[in-house]
Amino acid sequence: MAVEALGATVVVSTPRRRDGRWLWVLPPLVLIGVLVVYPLVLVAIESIPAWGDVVGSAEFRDALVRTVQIAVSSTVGCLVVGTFLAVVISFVPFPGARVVAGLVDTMLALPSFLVALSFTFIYGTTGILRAGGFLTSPWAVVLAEVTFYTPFVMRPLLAAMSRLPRAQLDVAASLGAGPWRVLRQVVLPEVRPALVAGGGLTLLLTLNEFGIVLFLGAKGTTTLPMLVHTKGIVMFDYPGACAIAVVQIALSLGLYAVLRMALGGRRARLD
Amino acid sequence: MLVWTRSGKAIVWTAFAVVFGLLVLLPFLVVIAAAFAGSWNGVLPSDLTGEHLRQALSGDELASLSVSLQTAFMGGLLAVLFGTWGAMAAHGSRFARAADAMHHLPIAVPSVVVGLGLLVAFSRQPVLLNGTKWIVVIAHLVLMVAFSYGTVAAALQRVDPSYADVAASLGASPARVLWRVRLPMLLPAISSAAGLSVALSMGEVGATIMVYPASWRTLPVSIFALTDRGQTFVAAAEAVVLLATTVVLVLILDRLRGRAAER
Amino acid sequence: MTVQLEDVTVHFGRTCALEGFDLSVAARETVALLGPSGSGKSTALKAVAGFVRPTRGRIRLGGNDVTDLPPARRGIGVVVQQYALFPHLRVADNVAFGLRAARKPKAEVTRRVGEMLEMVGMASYGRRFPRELSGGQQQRVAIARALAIQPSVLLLDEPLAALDAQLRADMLGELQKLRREVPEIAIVYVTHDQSEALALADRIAVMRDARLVDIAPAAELYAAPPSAFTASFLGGANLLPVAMDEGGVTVAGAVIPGLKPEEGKSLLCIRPHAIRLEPPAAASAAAAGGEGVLGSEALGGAGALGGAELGGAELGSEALGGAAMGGAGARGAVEDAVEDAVRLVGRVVAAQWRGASSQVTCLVDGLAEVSVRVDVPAGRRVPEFGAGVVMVLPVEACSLVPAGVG
Repeated sequence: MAVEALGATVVVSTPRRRDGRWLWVLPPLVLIGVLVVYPLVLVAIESIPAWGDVVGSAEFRDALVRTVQIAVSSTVGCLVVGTFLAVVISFVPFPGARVVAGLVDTMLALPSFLVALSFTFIYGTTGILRAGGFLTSPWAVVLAEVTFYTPFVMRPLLAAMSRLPRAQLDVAASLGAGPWRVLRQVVLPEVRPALVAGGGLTLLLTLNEFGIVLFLGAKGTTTLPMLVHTKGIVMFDYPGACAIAVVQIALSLGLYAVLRMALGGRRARLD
Repeated sequence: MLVWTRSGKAIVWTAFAVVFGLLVLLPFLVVIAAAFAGSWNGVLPSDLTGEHLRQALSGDELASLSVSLQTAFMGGLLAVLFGTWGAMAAHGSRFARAADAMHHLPIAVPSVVVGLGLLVAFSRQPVLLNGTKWIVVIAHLVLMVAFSYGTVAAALQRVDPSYADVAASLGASPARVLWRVRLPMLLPAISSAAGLSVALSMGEVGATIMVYPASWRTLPVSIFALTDRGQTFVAAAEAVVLLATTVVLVLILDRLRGRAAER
Repeated sequence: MTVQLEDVTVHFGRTCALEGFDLSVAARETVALLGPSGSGKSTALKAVAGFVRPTRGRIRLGGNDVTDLPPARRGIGVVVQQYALFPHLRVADNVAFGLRAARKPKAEVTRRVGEMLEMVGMASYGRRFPRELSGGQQQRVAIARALAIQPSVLLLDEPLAALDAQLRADMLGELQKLRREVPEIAIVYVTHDQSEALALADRIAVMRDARLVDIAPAAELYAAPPSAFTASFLGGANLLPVAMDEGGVTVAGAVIPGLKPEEGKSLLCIRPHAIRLEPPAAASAAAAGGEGVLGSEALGGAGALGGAELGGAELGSEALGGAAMGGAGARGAVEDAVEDAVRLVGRVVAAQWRGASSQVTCLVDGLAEVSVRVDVPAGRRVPEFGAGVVMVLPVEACSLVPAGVG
């Protein structure tokens, strides 16, 4: 890494040594271009022959509907559970609430398939609840995703709630508002951007979720990412896999674009 | 602040304990318990054993651990390097929006699709990587770059630009400003990006399962293979190995971050 | 309705924020809780509002124990320091918040919101959002919102602290007007600013280190502070150590004429504005203006003053003590027009110009560790740094307070 070349453009307003600037800005972009954009473009090109077959198939349409169903149900679940947990941690604090908040942060970095793995013990045919039928239903996927993605809703909510002045809640209570009214009319309106950010991110990630579906191996539960895997790796049908991937890319990027527009300058919260 | 009466608080806390315990905490505890259980036919596991753990730390499974660690270090650390570089280069420049969008691409699309793309792109000329470990490392690099970029970019927005201005006013060259002022101030974010990258890399399954060669099986792939064969207890034990390794790695990186923050 | 706090103690973990606090505020009365930050004044207010639960003690409103009632059921109006207007609600909806929480009929809500905004002069701002208002306007809305629920008690927590100086003066006037418009309610006013407390309060409770130091009607507290802390915090009084002997009180060796010694009160308290500065020459002239018999003594004094200027502190001050006494005695004997006063000699160590006045800090010869602050009105000559001066302390402005931390 040529520090001289890097340094030349650190002060953005320095007009001299413009040629050095490219050496500083370009390499990361080239890396992403070669390793992400170029492959995705190839995927789109590969998909063209299989386009008609795949889009017309019932298998694809079922998977699309299932994917959206699971993602929306999971997101709604995460929003409800995550909001409740975040409100308690923030506004009805108990000893150890900070530990719980720290735990939530840790969970963001854990692999999702752990949850699916645990479900085989909890709901499996020989497990705690022996609800074998449940394990193969889409609801198992939804429950696993609610478990795994609730922290993703909680994190932005906890941050937003910690910025909410306590005095507002106090004053609202002094004006005669009960907890429910304070929550509805003071807290929720003010953390709405965080709610949208967390919910949007969760919707995106649940649309894309693969590990949980793979590990639960639910027969009736084929989602688009699962279908990409099956077609590409199990059946070696690259064009078919690519066609589905293109739909998935369009879906995800469309949602991502909407989210970025909705959140405006608060881009960082999507990370 | 919200609930003022003692009984109200008690009710809310009980509900919290139930929801958090059953929904969020229980699954992780069950995996850990299963790793040490000979069998699990009731509410509680039975026949406490270390046999699964022994299996999870021998032969192919141990090799998987090594593969995962190597992949996480190569992919994750390269990702931190390029993510930091990308974020600093894009910060305040007119490419910022384009760079943002490009770096977020791997997070926005499913990891399976990222894997498929690499498979399609590098199974042909000019670069043939399919069947080598490098395609796995690249897959991890690509995914983790996105997270590193995000972490560092967020930190950059919080850093007061006047530090760099003051350094420049004191006569420091741009290179010195970068090396002595901007990078040190970003160190906590960079090391937290490193922790996140390594942790996520250890658990990555979507892209890996699309591209891995038989000679380079990461831990999550092995765990999946075990569950697929019905060896769920060994799978749980190996998941515990994965968890423990991740926690240790993140803790080490966290201590480094602590030292960076003290300065 | 009266507010009563009985032995209220609040602990946050191991820190004690309020210790054994007793206070009673009657209807139609304004009590200011005055103290530096961390003195527990805000905690006391929060305990009354119900935002913090006392570890010990009871709180009564109109005789009813409300210690265990949540804030929503106390019916107290609260205005906090940063106003805490709900940012997502328009001004009118902010004011209507409490009325809607009480499920008042729509027509009544509209009417009352209108009245309240009218009263605080914000009638035309109902459709605005709080962020579109200036600090002073936000403050008025916060007051309107608190009064909309027709509380019998209004708690104001540093309501002017977030405003700049000019606006603060204006708002002080508005608060006085408000006080006249809602005469029946009890007001507790928390502030660290003594001028706000003096301007608004009937009684002032001075607090320090989580405890009540003194409580008394404002004028009384100002005129005769019961403690050294109150004396210096309220009006920034000068505190000078005194000595007592055979029925007289002396400061820096000078007898204070007419002041009787009191048991345990070892500090002389005098406000900066009550002190007058004279050049050393004037002191000797005043003394020389007396009878010839005293002339030599006065001359001796003048000579000693010269010594003081040269830095012969101890000798100078003692000689001056004699001169001042001599001077006072001479005037007492000769011209009745001259007031009873103590004259201390010293020199100027700092001077701050404050526009309408200047504050001059002087060291008194013979009182090594004590500096005396003197307000010099605009138009009077401000002595230069290092210049020797005579501080004239009129006896009627002097009082004695006990020393000690309380």
